[in-house]
Amino acid sequence: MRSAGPFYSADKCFISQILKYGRFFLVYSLFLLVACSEGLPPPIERFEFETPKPFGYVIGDKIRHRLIIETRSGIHLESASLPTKGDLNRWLSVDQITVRPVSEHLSEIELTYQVFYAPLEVKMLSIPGFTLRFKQGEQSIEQLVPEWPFTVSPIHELGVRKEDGNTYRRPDATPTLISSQNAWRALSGSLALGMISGWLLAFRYGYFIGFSRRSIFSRANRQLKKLQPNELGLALMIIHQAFNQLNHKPLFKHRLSEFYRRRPEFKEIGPDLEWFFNFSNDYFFGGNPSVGADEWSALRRLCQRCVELERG
Amino acid sequence: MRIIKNTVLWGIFSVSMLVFMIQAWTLLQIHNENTWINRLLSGHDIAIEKVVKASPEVRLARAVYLREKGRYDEALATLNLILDQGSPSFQAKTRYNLGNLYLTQTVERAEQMAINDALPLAALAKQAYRQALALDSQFWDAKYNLEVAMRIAPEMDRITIKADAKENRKTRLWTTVPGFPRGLP
Repeated sequence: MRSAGPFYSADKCFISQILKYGRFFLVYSLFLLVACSEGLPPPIERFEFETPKPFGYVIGDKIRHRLIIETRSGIHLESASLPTKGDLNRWLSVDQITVRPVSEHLSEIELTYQVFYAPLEVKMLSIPGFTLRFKQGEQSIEQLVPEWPFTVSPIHELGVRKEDGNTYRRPDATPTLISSQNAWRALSGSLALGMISGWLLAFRYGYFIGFSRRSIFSRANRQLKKLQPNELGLALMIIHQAFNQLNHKPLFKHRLSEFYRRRPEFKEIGPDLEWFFNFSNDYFFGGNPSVGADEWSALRRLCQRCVELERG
Repeated sequence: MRIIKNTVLWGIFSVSMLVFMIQAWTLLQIHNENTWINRLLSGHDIAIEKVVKASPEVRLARAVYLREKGRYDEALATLNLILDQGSPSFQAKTRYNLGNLYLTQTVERAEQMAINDALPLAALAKQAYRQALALDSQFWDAKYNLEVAMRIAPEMDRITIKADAKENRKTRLWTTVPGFPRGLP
């Protein structure tokens, strides 16, 4: 029979071993947890503050700053945290603020300041910093935009320049003479366009002396308008003369196909021309012409169609 | 088709002739206004009826003429009429001339030791120059004259003093010190 003592001692040793390894496991787990948490990206992954040269400014100059901010997804800039447009202090004003989202996570902020400080000598000033705030759900994240020191110089010479006993000042700005360039351009353009369209119209209406063939039927039409319906013979003569002039020789019915070859545009009124020559033949040589208002109107229509055809 | 062609041609011809006539009239106006500007800048006045219907450039030239003749109120009224007219660079010129007008009066009042009158005028001059520079930050004449105005009436940050202290009230009368800087700093 074995006493209980050694057994008790062995159990105690076993328990202490478990506790020891358990503690080690706990520490190791915590270490892993911390290591894993370090792997998460920070809320603001990238912050760049781009500034121009910090010297050589004078009164009235504009200074442009650019902020490039890349955030984790779901983080939004609070526009209220940006400086407001207008006077920041006695000598500095915010002239323009532009927030430009480049992508879902990347934004560019452009800030334009204007300096109105009149120093007596080169002086160092600072554009005050501010804190940008971002929102992720209920959580608020902040990013400090640092102040930016720069130097501003006077324009004036050290001694006070005088002119007629007074402090020298720049004179009034005079207006430049009003430019007439655009008006000249528009005038020339409209004149050219007017001349081209006018020339085309004159050509189509047969007003050019050099293009008399374009005005043969126009003249005939004008003469026809002056005639009465009982002067049908004269009307037929006028139209015959117009066709002869256009054909450069007398035109008869049996030579119409030859005429169409030279003046194909008249082919489309072929049936009307056939009727005209038949009617003319009947009138002059048939002995018993049937003349009425319809024939007179048909002659007028034919002449008008010929006018349109010669105009093209 | 022929009728359409003719109608289109007549349309083009009519519109171009109309534009031609308008542009010819515009050119005549421009010629007249440029003559008036030259006349005003050479120190000769023109009839007020011509200015009323003229472009802002003529009014600006007349304001320059009036200021040179010492007719400040008329110059101020003329400039106020064209403050928001024209391109940004023209507006900058108008505001700069307005600043010059106030600054001239500031200097005159300061020389007469009328400080109470000079200070508000200097403030107005500075404001006008600032507005000119906000429109055109490379306007060097405006920068120069703003600096003159700043030296005549320097600006200082207000120091907050307890209002209830009677002895301090006397020291809060002026936030700016009028006068020309003398000698080297």
